[in-house]
Amino acid sequence: MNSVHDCGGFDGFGRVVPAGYDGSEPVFKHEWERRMCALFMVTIGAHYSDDEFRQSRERLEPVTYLTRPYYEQWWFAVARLMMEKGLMTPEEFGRHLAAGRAPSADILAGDA
Amino acid sequence: MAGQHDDHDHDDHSHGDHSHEGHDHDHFHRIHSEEVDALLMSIADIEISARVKALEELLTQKGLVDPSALDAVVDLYENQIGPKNGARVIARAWADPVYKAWLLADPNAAIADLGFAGAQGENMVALENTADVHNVVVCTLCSCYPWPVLGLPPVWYKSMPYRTRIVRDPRSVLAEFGTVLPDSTEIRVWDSNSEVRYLVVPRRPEGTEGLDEAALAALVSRDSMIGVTEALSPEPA
Repeated sequence: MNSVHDCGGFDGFGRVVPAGYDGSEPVFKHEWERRMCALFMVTIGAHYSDDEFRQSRERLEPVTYLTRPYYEQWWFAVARLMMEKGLMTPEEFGRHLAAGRAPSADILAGDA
Repeated sequence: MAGQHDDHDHDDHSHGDHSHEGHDHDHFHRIHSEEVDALLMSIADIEISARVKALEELLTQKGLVDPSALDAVVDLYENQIGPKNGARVIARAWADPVYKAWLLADPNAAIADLGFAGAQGENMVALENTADVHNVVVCTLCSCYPWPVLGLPPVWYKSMPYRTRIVRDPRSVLAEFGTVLPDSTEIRVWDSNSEVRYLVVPRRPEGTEGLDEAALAALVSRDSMIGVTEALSPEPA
């Protein structure tokens, strides 16, 4: 698919090396990154292939791809695959997410 | 477990052809994509920690993931696999010319000989830096990286600035890392793909003649095995 992931050679993205970089960094910066990475590791192969995963990430619309952190892109890619493969429905995931966030579940479209 | 990664079917998708799908798959997407897109868009601004937690809980409830496997895989990639593995490979290559020749000729076997193998390292290529040629590795399309020898990639490796610029102006990117090479040194940029993963063999620093493999390994930084820096120099005695 021809989209923003195919970015080699683009100009204008700025500096590579982060301020204060000393050659090392933690493997994960947040607990959610750790859990997302683990979820990917235990579902790839079992429920989808490498290529399906890559394509799912590449199907993110360009603005989301360019602005969301790496492991959040993984969340979109894995959540999409689990739904498209019928392992969970959009409705039940939306409901589960809302239940876990009650009482502010009215953010969920359709439940307002 | 990560081992499942090895089991799936590998078709011949090249990097330039990620979108290749069979007819049945396309049909599947047409049926479901709209509903999935709508849900994903509607919850996209809920904090990511809550979305990850909900995904883990629901998949666990459904018996699709085993919580103990999640913890084991975190431990594997956070504590056991990392650039210390690759540094042992490089130190052995510096110390033993026979091993180095083997590493360059048959990297999978030479790396496995030190006990390192697994997902995302099935087809390794070792690239030797010399006074004339400096190698540097990227994955422009995503974040392909040799997990068994380097662990998970750093944030900058996965970032748009690196993926976009290293293929167009590698010399300026290396300079940002403090790596200033003579104009006479050729820079070769290697774009990883789904099947092939690269390990740069940095040049052995001067002044390391008396060092054993453990001391040599301490000079092999992760970034030198990606190729954005050279190996560290030993502390003056």
